[in-house]
Amino acid sequence: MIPPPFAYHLATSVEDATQALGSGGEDAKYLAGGMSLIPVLKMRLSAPPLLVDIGALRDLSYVRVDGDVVRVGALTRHSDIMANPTLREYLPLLSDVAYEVGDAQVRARGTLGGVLAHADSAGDYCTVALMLDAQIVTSSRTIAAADFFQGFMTTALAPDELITEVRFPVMTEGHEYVKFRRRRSDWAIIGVGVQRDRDRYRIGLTNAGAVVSRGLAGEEVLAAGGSAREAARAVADAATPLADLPAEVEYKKSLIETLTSQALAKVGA
Amino acid sequence: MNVRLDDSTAVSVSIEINGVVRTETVEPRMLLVHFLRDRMGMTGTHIGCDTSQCGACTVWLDGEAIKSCSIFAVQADGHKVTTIEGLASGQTLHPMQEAFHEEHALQCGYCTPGFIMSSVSLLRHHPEPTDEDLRHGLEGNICRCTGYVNILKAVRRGAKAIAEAEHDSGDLQ
Amino acid sequence: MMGTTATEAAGRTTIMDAARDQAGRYSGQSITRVEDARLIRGQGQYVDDMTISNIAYAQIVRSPVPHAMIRSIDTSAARALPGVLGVYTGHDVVLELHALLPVIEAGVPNRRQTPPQYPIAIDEAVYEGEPLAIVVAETRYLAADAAELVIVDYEALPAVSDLDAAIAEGSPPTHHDAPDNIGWDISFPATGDIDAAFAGAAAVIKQRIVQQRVCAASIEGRVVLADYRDRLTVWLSSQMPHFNRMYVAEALGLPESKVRFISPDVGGAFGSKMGPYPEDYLIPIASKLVARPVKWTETRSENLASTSHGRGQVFDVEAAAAADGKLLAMRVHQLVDIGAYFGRTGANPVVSVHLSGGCYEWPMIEARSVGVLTNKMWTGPYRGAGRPEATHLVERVMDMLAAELGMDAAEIRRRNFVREFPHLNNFGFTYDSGDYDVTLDKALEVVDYATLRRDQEASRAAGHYMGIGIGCYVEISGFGPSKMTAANDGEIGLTESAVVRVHPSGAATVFAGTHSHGQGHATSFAQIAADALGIAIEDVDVVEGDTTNTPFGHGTYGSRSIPVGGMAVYMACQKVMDKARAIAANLLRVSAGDIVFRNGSFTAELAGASKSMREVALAAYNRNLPEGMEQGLEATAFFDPPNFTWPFGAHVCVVDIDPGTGVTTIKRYVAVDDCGTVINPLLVQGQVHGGVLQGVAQALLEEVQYDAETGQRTGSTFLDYLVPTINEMVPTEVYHTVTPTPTNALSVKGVGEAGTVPSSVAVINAICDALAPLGIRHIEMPASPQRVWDLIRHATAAMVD
Repeated sequence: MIPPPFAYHLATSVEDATQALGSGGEDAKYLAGGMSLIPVLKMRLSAPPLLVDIGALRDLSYVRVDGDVVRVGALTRHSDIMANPTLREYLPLLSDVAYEVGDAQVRARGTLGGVLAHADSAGDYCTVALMLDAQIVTSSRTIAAADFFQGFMTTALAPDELITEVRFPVMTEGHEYVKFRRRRSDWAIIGVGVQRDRDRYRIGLTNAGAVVSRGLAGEEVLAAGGSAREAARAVADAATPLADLPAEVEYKKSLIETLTSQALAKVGA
Repeated sequence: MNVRLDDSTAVSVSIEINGVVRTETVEPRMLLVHFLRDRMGMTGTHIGCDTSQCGACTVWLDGEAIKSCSIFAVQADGHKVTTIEGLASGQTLHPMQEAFHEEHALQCGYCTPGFIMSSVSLLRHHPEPTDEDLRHGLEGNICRCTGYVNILKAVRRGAKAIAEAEHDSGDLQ
Repeated sequence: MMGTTATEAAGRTTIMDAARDQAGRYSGQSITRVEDARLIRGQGQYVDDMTISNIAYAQIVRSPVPHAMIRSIDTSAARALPGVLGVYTGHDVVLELHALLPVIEAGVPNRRQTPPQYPIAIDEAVYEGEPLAIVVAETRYLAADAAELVIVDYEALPAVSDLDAAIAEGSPPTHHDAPDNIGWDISFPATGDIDAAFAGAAAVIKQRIVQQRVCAASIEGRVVLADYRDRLTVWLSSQMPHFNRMYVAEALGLPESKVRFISPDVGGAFGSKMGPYPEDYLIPIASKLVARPVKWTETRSENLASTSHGRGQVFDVEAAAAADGKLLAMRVHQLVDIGAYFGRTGANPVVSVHLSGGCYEWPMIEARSVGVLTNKMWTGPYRGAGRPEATHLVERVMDMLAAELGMDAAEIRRRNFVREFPHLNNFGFTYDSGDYDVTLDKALEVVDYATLRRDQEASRAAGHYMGIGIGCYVEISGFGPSKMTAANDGEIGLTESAVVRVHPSGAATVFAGTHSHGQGHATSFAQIAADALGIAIEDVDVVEGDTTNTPFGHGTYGSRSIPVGGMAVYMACQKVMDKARAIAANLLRVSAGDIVFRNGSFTAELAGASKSMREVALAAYNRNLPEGMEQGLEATAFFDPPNFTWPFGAHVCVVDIDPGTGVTTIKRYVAVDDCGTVINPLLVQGQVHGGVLQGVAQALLEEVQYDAETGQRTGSTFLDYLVPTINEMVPTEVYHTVTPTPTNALSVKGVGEAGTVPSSVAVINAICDALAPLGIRHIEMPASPQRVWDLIRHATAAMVD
């Protein structure tokens, strides 16, 4: 319940943030919405000596469309992503996903960048970023989503590297995100995202393994003219969900198949 | 604002709470909820969990409902916080408080301030909320006593009362 | 029987507008609560809201493993932290201790062992979460930091967890020097030839039914604020401050008169704040040792791990019925997961056996109850405390027998209902009054049962899984008659007390020994008192929770406050009225027998004159009193009920199951309950709403989990322990019938737990009913989507084979 002590710096710019973090030692961390980090600190699972608060960098909160790219500032909150009219028009899948994240109070604070940096495979935005081949723009470079998520809650980010923007392709066609959980405000047990992209379908999986994953096997089946049912089966067969018991793994794979089927049906695959 | 990079023991914060600016020296790690309860003596905001689930600690930060257990006081520096104590005007209750009373939407009362703060904030976004709006907006508040049936009734009733009050005051203008 | 009421439709009055109804009464009206005024403003006074000058804060260091010998505890680093006032271990605490935590030996039938419980581990830790050390510091934050610096050197021992394994030969013991893990073993022989009954039966069923451990999870956890000076004052989030005062005073070697316990506003309890708990001893001792007030506030993680768990039983049941559905016999074998210590309430779970017959006539029931010690937090009362378990058992039995016989679920119940009252059940308990037909009839009428069954047939034909579940119940409330409860409660019968004091201005204060933690006594007791005293309800104030000004009370639990506490209030009011009548008579110069009390006035009809309560009250403190009468207008009453009270009802649940995911959706839930006369229908309805959801949550969501290998608790936060949110709400339709009870003058029964008693089984019965075409006979709780899906998959595979 009580976090361990830390030093605190309120960043005034991206440069100021990276510099402060760089001088804060190995375990220093950025603080954005705090919806992932603060619970971790309260449980004393982590004890960073310094927190660099980037919450005041409000000019990192935006939604813009540049041609066929949707650019979302890393500090855009879930509640804003949910309600943003530009996103509703150019990338409605992301808005739909934001609607399903956490609860109202969490949505008022949590950020896109925060979820991606945390890289929990149950983080719904991670799925969207991966399946849409998003580009993650940081304080020093741009990283393709496929290269960004590297392992269990591990990203390609250097310790002081700060996500500033996420670039998604404009996707206005049929889309569906099915999030299966026990209670509606819980993390996904399994989530499946489907986005029609011209002549193909993109499929993403939430919490289907240690790292966020994509249903490439299913995408290939559909691209080759296979049925939605076969695609769903392929996605489930290829998935490696984590569980304590074998029965749980079977159930999760079954869920993956059922939910992928459901999502594909919704987008008319 | 003076913040020393390597200072983990004390920072100065100025937070406008229920319309009054309060300036205190706090540890950076002090949670806003502890600041409100222990430092300010505003004990209407409650703590019911340690994983940001229950919402008993809900207050408004710049008018938006957030969980005060999941934000440091220092992050609220320079911002406005509204607690349950700031909702009524002297003896005049907020319509949502009246609605909770009239619908028997509280039993032990411990989750109630959080629910009321969440409800009023929700109605700002959805003045005529559907059932879906209500459930989606209140899923971050847990009650163990009421079974939620009367809470839903209360929020609907409060929504009507707020809409009517606004309509009436609009007429006066 | 006075007819049925849909509480939904009942008119409602706010407390500001409350007025007597046409019969001149407040009781029976849905009046909104007087206590809301402070609670909706955030002006409640919960223990953590309270502070005292010079206060210090405590944190408990707890055993991280379920079973270990403690070699040493190094507190030096913790003590060296600036701002730390003291760090104490078991060796320090025992020096201050004059008594251990109470286990009511008499309440443990056929006891084999009742392990002595210190409030802190000395050389052995026997449950995960057992206190090992207590840190006291200037601030909460420092106490947390210091607690991390305490180093415990321990040697892990095997953890006893599974009940069958625990009672098997050769099991490691829960307590290292104990011979085995049997706490009690009591048999109730059949009253006839039970083997013959089974042999001659047309239908026999056999089933294991598990009641998983659950957490009460009140949103406010436990908090203790102790101030040890010349007197000891303790603020405690508790359901029963008087009992806790008694035990803690004894344990600290203080006279009870020098100890004051105050339970202010309590943020829910559901049975988990009865205790006493180790912290109730440790914090006063800490205050004594540091010579400052000390406050300890439980975190949610501590609450889910170290506050008593509910349920925790395993039943093996066999039942037999004749071809016409008449019940012949039942065998019940109960294993109770005690935990590492008994807790005060000892073998209370045996009540599940006592009530295993439910609403039905059973020619014979043979039973055996075995209490099993395990390396876990102890189990204690949780809303219903044994009666949901009993109801679940018997209602599953009824459905299973019905299925065997191809009989309708409602019909088999009707063929076996008890219909004559008072009814002596198979275990010596007398049900005071009841009418099980009227509640079942009402419930089935509301859901339109015949149409539902037709809908179900159509639904099945279309390949869907729709289920209808019935839960009929009778339950024990109004704890309790001293002759039946005293032995189980340390020779203190569960009577209840009240002092009613009328002030010179005619307003009255009721001091009650119960303690509301959401039940609304400030309003319902005021309704009773205002009616009895003939004064306006706004002139009545109800005080509870402070041992200094309330008579010895037994607190609030076991649905006892209205039938026992309300009666004490009523009786005290009667004594006041007797005196008031005499004073009025004296003022009007008539004899007391000529006085009629009507419409708030004492009227001498022949004289055509009257006096109001206000005038009488003022006179009571004056000199115009009858010869020999002392001043004052107050009375104390202790009510010792002649029996428990036995509310009853029928709930019906309709579900839909998605076979692809295993998700169960409740489409409809109807509750018909009968608690006799209803003082405030609005409050009763609220209790039923809340109670139903807790039972449903046990059926679908909640369980305390332990790792099979290590016995460690998994999931001790609200992330993993799934209490329902608003999205999991049950759309409960609440009705009540009114069947009077002869047990008390107000004709009231308790109802606080009634909603929880049948709701788990109504859901499980509905799920089993939905899945019956697949040959599925039973499902354990929680019936998670995975569990349902697994059952369907195996059943479907079996059918294919």
